[in-house]
Amino acid sequence: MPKGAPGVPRVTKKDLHLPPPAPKFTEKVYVLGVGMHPFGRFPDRDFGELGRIAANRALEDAGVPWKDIPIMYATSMQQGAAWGTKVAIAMGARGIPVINMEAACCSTSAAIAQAAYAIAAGAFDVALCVGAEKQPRGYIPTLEMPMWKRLMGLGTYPGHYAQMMQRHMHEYGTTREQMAWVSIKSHKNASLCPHAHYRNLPDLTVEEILNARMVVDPFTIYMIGPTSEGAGAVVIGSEAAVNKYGVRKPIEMVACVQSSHIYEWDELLYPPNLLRITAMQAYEQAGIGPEDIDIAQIQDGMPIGEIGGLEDMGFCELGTGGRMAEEKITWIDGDFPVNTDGGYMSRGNCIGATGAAAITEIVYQLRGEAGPRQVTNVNPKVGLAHNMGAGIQCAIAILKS
Amino acid sequence: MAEKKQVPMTHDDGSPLFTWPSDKPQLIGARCKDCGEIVFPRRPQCPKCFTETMEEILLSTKGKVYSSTISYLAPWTMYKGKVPYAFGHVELPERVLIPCKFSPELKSGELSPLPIGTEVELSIEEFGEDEAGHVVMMHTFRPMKRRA
Repeated sequence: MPKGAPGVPRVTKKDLHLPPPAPKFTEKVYVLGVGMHPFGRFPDRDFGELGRIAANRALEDAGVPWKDIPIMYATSMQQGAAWGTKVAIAMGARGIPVINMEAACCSTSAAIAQAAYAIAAGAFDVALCVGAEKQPRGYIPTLEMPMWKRLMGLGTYPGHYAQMMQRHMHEYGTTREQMAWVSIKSHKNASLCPHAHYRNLPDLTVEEILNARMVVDPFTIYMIGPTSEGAGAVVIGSEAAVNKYGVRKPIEMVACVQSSHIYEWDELLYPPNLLRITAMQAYEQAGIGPEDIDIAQIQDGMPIGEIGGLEDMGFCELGTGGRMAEEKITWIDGDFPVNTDGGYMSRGNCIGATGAAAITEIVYQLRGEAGPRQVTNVNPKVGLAHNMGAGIQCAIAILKS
Repeated sequence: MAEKKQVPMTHDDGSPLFTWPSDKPQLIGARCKDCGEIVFPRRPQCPKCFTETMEEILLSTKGKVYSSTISYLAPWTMYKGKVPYAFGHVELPERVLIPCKFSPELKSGELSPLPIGTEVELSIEEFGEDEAGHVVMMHTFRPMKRRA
């Protein structure tokens, strides 16, 4: 529990239309199993194969056979029509409903929220959620932005994150060194994570990071996460499924919410209110507050994601997010570990599966199965997994052992 | 030889982002007749009160830098401008943010982003040629010169 977690900051505009609270789960929902395909580049594996490998790992972890799965939620961003069914075909097509969902980087978490409602409503006892992505190199194409922005080079995610970081530095005095510490932690943690994309930079220094080639000011190459190919899968189910399959360490999903962009005249691409409102909804759905969270996964393709996310989800005061990595609070051996697998910056951003990666790492930590990444100063009971999609969607899951 | 025609950059709905040709070009936004909310570019439905009551409005040409950065690489092949390039958002007095490039083009050497709060004014500049051979003009903002 972060000492003195101040709570979610006030939603800033009093005339903002707020969404209704997320409906509660009427029955308990559990994570029965998780499985990851590594993030990186896999030219010899197509989408169906990536998904098949992750799905099998999750099903094996859960002890649930494929033939028992009544519904599959498939998440991806760039794979074309009915993509999820390609994974089902690779597994052995059984005619089950395949729900294809896309919410950019929060796709898997958004799908898990839907699966959880279906299970809580008693429609199914168990469901498989698989995310995967085949990824061309370079910046993620922002097809949801108008053409004039893309032509002029204005509509890029790194560009927007960079502007957010510049504003944070201007408003709160956050320093470039503090940004670099987020990257140091990220790369060190990822070197301990077998499925991470960048595993070979465990000992970066502030000087190396700040003197490296600048990509978009203030981010140098070590501060921008890769877009990755890969896959991840999560099996979720009811209490009855936990008993039926003898799941040894079921993790209860006490919250899983998704919300989308809220209009404000002074919004940039990643307005703080989107995170704040999603966090409020998640805490309310779970009936807890940020002071009850022991560990977190926070989307951090660039350092501002983690710095701003810590503030907007109520783990530290506004303007102090920059201190958390610098003062080792968010390290594996710190008081409030964040992104113990390296997070997006080094574990990588496999768009369709990043939600699965965030939830998987929380599950491993809660089970005590994170190996060399297992947190040492905290005995985690409650973890939070956060993802942002294209700056206009946000999903948060809260898990409890 | 006839000069190439200049056309303004358009929004996805085909409408121009600013008045052009003009001696005093202005960005074209929209204002809600019901609640007064102002947006750029124009859109048919008010994002604040959700009604289809938006009318076109010409926006101020002077504002302040709200956010600012410099990119050292071209994001994708459809970007034809120079690299590195400065860009960000400008806040106009009407309470609207304008995404834009900053001009003039950057020279090499020590570069740092235009400070937040810098007073800037609209400057229409050439973007490049379109398929029809017209010169496409784009909106930028440049720091206002201080009077001596």
